[in-house]
Amino acid sequence: MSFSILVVDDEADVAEMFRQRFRREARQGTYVLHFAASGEEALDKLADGVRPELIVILSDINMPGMDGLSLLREIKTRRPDLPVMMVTAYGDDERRRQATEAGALQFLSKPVDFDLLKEELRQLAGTAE
Amino acid sequence: MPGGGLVLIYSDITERKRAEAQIHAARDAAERALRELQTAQASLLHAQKMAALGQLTAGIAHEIKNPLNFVNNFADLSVELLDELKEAAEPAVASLSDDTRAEIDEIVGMLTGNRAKIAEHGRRADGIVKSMLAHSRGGSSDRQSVDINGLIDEALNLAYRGEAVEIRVRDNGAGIPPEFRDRLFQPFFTTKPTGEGAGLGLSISYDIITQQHGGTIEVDSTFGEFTEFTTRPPRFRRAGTAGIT
Repeated sequence: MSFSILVVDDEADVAEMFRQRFRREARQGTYVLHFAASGEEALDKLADGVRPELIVILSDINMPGMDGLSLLREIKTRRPDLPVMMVTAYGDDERRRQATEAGALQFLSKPVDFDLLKEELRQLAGTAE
Repeated sequence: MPGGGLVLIYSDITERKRAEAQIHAARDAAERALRELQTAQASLLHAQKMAALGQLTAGIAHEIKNPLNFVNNFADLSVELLDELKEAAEPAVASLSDDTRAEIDEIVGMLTGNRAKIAEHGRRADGIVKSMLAHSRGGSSDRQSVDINGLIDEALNLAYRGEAVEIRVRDNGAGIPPEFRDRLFQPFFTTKPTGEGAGLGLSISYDIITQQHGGTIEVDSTFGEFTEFTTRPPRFRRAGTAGIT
């Protein structure tokens, strides 16, 4: 069983980092990684349909154009059941509150704890299976 | 006046004395109010400067934190990838000559060492950023804070209750060059770079000790060796309390 993960971040190296972090999982076909450099691009990808089954969107908050919180709200109107995790370097309480209120599943601070993230993904994949 | 008579002028000055006393009291009150206002203004200015400095520090720390996270993250990844490379190459490496294998081992060893160094320096920089953020929030950095009031209370309980209290604070730091000695307590005098020091700390201390407590503050320093401040706030008349707040 293979699942998709969509990572939204305006910094290109974030994609490279995820690619390297998930190299084994991607090789084994456990996860297929998709990347979007903006909130708009993420919504386009979502509208086009992501294959295989998308189990989570990981989004940065501070981005030019549509920011992560607006993207989160937009996703929740289109796909209320799709889990969204917010990732940010600015882990302040106000953003955390807003993200939780808008329906984010998780609020992760950079640097991301990948062991923890992988554990969460395993659980999400388990639910989807 | 014919006949050299004498005129006695008699007037009651009680009223005038009272008025004079009132004027003096009013003047003293006004002067006290002025001093208090000046002190308040100085501390306000200081607080404003510190707040602006705090914001700037937090901004810089956040800007540095992001690229630093990448450095640390990719350094970690390099180790994982090296391990995976060793694993993947193992069957092929086994068939190589001893000499070639030794060279490969050496290079992999060096790369692993480099990663450890990157991680070490990354952690150092990370620590600096964290303490910048902590400092900008008004928390303590890696310097230890000392409860001077508690320390003095303790010392006073042990000490003989004499006429005056003397508190000396001495460091083993860089000392104060003689040419700065005269201007030390002047407001806005600082030797720190622009934006790093308001130059108000000692002038406010001077005010607190001399104006508010009616005591004295002196400085003794040998450039390159030490600085020692001696404050002598008077003991209050009330038994059991020394004039320390």
